[in-house]
Amino acid sequence: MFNARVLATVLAMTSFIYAEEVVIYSGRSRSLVAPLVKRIEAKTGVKVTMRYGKTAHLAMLLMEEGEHSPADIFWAQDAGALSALAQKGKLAPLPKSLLEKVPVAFRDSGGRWVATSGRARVLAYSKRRVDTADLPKSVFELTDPKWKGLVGWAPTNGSFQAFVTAMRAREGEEKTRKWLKAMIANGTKAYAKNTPILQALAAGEIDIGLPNHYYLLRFLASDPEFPVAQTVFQAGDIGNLVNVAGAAVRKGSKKSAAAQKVIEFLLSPEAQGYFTEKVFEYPVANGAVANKKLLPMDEMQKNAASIDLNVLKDLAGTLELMRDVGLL
Amino acid sequence: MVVGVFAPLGYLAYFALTSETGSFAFVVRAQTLTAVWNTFALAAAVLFFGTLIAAPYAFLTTRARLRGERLFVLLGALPLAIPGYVLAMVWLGIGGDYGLSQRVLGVGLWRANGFWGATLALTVYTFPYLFLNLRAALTRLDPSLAEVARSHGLRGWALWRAAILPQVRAAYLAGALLVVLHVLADFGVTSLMRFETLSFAIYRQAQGAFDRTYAAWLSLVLVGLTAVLLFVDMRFLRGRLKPVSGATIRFAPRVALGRWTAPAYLYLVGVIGFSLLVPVAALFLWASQPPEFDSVISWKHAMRNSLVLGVGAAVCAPALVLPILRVSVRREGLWARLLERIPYLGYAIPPLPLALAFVWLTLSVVPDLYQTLPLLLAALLLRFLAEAVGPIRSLLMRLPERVEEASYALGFGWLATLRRVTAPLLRRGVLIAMAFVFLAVVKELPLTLILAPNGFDTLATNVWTHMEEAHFALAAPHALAILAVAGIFVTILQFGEQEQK
Repeated sequence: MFNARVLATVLAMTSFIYAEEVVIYSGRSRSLVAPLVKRIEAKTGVKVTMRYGKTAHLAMLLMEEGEHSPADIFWAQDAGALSALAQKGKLAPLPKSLLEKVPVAFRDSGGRWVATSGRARVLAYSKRRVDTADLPKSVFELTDPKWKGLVGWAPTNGSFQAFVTAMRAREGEEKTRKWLKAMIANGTKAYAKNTPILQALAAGEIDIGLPNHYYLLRFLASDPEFPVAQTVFQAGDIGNLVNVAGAAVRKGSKKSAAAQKVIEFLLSPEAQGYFTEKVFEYPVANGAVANKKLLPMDEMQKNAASIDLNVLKDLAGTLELMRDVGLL
Repeated sequence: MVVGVFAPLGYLAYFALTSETGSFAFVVRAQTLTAVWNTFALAAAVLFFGTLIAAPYAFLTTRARLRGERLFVLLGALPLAIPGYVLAMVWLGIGGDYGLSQRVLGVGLWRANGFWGATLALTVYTFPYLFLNLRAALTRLDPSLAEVARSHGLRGWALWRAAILPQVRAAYLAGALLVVLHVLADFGVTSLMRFETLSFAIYRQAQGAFDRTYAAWLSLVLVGLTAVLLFVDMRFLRGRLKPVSGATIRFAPRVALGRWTAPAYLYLVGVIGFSLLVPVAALFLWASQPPEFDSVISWKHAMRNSLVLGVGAAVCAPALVLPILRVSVRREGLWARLLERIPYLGYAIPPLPLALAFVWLTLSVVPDLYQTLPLLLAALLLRFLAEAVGPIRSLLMRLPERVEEASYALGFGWLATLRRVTAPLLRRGVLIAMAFVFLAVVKELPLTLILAPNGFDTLATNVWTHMEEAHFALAAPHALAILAVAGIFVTILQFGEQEQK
């Protein structure tokens, strides 16, 4: 009797505290964002239920679920997945006030998704085996025979595929096809994802790798001796693509107000600080300052390949090309 | 269950056939043929080396006088509890310029990769299927056959071939089938070792969202290959698997090892060293490093979820398999044999298409079940039911129908017969089947990620999320927790087995 009353009181209190409740489908890994998710509940009063998975799989799941989807927010690793879902009409428009928290380059031109943090493609290399003077100036130089069998990439990785999409958009379909073919002919090794690329660099299996920027910082955080370093290609090179993780509200969600509140929190100084200080990403909200361990924000942006992130939605075309050259 | 197997197949066929032209050409390209060839080569190598390891291991732990037998049995089963991608990560981390052996011992080792890397990781990971299946058969070896053979002057190999091998053939084939199916389905190890098999190719296609056509086509190729394999296996079993008709089952005496004692222990310890101690040592080493991140993920909650799924599936699987096997073992005819093959087809459908098919099926038929625990459990059962078939079948074949008939004749009902006659005789097979299913479920990833209720985490999903971000120190405790849970479960099962003696 007593227990039942306590239970009823507790339940009443919880429903009072969490007036609203949203479900987030998160392609961002739990390992990285779980501490922040706790803060969402404390700061916004919105109760959050998380479903973690790979960005591509969750995007497929959202398509499969259609109107039955329990998801309110899709939080993706990659602008490509967001743009593709937006194109298929699965995402609801966000209010202007929310969109304007980030620079134009970091949001959907149709206003259906907004970036939450940035990540840069980099040139990672073995400290022991590569002389920095020899490093290529452009990603196109990696087809040089002197790198034969010494370069690693991750063709199944979403960030890599986004990079190929960007290359197609800026450098053209034919040039991209030629580059991919030449890279394959040059014995470029295909890894399952970014982490194994870094491990292979340390192991001496390859000399150069094309991962995202934060993996090395994570290896170095636990092992300062880790024998890998990274840099960027020359300013503007497509190899320096800056992609974003971003969030959107699912079209048909009955809790769009609460969902927007959550996304607003992800752009708050607290969350932006978390992304850059803890996760080694770049903050995207206006006025946020990047982690000191990262290449400074302005330098990163000066080097970055200029590209409209909305072009990344043509993942299908990239996969087609990659299949065509035998990379997938 | 038939619906459960064939609905996903229909779903795959639908996606494959409604695709635009040109995708079929994709399937028949040279790369696919290479992948098929690689798949067979890898399966053959893993089976070969696995047999080489498992057969002596099974013999020593059943037919020889040995101390610590139960411990060796437990340790021989545990490699099944290490997720494939963890095992591959460990072996990748050992060799090379900056590998553990270089840094800790100062010895640079070959860095596992490619065909041999995949063979190594998959062999140490799957040999328990052969070992435990063989063990189930060897413990119940009928010594009268060997006595008859000996009285006919047969010795050594000839004696084995005439009297022992026929008795363990069914168990061996069941284990071998699991090993081969496992290799066919693996993408965790093959993708990390960079060896292109068919499942790896499917996984690569499935990585790109929005286009399920290519993955669907390749999945159908894989299911087709598996169907051929199942058919061949069925031909092998045909006619050789008549249930033993002798009404009494005696246990054969154990062999004294004599001067072979030391090499035997060395062998057992060596196998355990390679398959279990090396990965566990690497996990402990990772766990001892400072955490890479402030983690808020607790293993306690995840452990409870893993246990719920593992025990739930382990209890349900034998109950589902027994009725099928009773029909297929006892009845003659094509349909009876095909019936037994159905669980294997569930094993053959790649997990990602299987999961998406389940999403589609539940949302269109019973939306209330979507993202619920029962649905996840059903999907896991469908996928791993095949693991329960072998151990139960090989014992059921030795259970003469007459024993049950006698029970009925004495006036016992079917329930009493099951409880007092059938169940005790099948116990060992059922326990091994439960262990297989449990071990498979606690490390499962793709189905759990897609079908679990929102907010539901398991030890395996936690290992994965940490490994993805190179947080090895944080991943290790969760991987070790899987091993601990598996160890406890398998130990409990072993006590059940002991009681019987």
